[in-house]
Amino acid sequence: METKKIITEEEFKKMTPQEVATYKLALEKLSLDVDSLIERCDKLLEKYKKDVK
Amino acid sequence: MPIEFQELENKYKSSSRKFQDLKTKAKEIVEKYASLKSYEAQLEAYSDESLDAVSSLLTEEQLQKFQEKREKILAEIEKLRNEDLATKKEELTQARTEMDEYVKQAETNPEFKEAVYNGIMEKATKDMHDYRKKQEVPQASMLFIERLKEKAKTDNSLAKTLQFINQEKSDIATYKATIELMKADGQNTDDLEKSMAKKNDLLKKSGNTLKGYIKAHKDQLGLTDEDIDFTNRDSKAFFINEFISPDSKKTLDDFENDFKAQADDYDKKIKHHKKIFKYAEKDLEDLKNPEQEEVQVKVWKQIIQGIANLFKKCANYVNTGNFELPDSTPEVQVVNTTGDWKDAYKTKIGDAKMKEIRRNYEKRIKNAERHNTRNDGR
Repeated sequence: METKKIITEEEFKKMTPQEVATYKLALEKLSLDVDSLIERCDKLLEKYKKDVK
Repeated sequence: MPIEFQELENKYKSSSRKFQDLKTKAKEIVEKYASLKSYEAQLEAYSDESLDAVSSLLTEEQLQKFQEKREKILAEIEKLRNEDLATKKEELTQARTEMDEYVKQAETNPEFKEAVYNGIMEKATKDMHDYRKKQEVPQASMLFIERLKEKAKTDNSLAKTLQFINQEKSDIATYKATIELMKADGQNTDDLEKSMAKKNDLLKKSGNTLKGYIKAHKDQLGLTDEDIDFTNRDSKAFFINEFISPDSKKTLDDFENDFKAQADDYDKKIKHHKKIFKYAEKDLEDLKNPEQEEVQVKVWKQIIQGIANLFKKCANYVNTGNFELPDSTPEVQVVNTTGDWKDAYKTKIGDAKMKEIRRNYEKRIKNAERHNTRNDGR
């Protein structure tokens, strides 16, 4: 699957350390949010799939 | 060159536009969350429990349609999970990997690394604080629900009100779904709509009764006037509006579970950031103490010195005849009997001893790691 880069290496080089840190943590946070949503989907599927005859 | 924090701060402010793409990602994730909430609400209306309640009003064909709709929603959730969210996850993982790669490339500059580690620690601390703050509302609401349920055990009127609200909401949700389906089939729904309107009125009255009860018993429920501001999103009792709304089928248990999930989610995020903080702290410490490796070499040298001393003693005993090595003693081949400790580790026993100590060290490291994991998990 082709995925686009969020920032390029060139862009990275122009970033200050503080920006790098902020960016890195923002990625971590979004990733955790996606994990929570996946978990929620799994719960719903588990809860309602048993209803399907 | 050291970088002034103020300078960083200014650059950070002026370059926040660089994070537009991340903001877009965050927006997309919020949208996925909204879709999921909507699917969840629809599934509630099409659950077996709801269908049982109105099965006498529906034909076999209509019931079949309900079930088909539910299967369609579940398929959409599966798609959301396996395609949309999986893609987002992959994109973010790739971005994180690339970011790590970039940081690695920049590692030739220790000042840069130091500033990154400090930045991560500072931001992680702020995030942990924010998450703890956000966790307060679901935790307080959970406690409020717990007290309300406890009170209902001894107060019959409260128990009846809560039960009535749950029942009316469940009926209304099912009426709505049925009306929608019958309308799609071109059937007359007047009677059902009248019945639903009556139920709406009854629910409204019970909702007001409950709000009045909460206000009258606020002290026993551990609430202040501020806590029972039903219009304030941050108040502990704000969810009561949704609980008594005809548009929601959620029971008190559902709210409690949701608040628990929210609080747990924040907990997970706090723990995650705590680990990030610790890793950054350790990396920073290693960065500031490059001689760490040398210290370990010194420790090893001391250990080897100790072994060498032992051999010197053994050799002395053998030479003077004051000590006899037992037959079972392994072959002692001291390569250098002049007492030079450097060669001691080259003997079989020295080698065995070093391996033994190393195994002990590895055990200690593993135990420390396990201990750390347990602490992180607290």
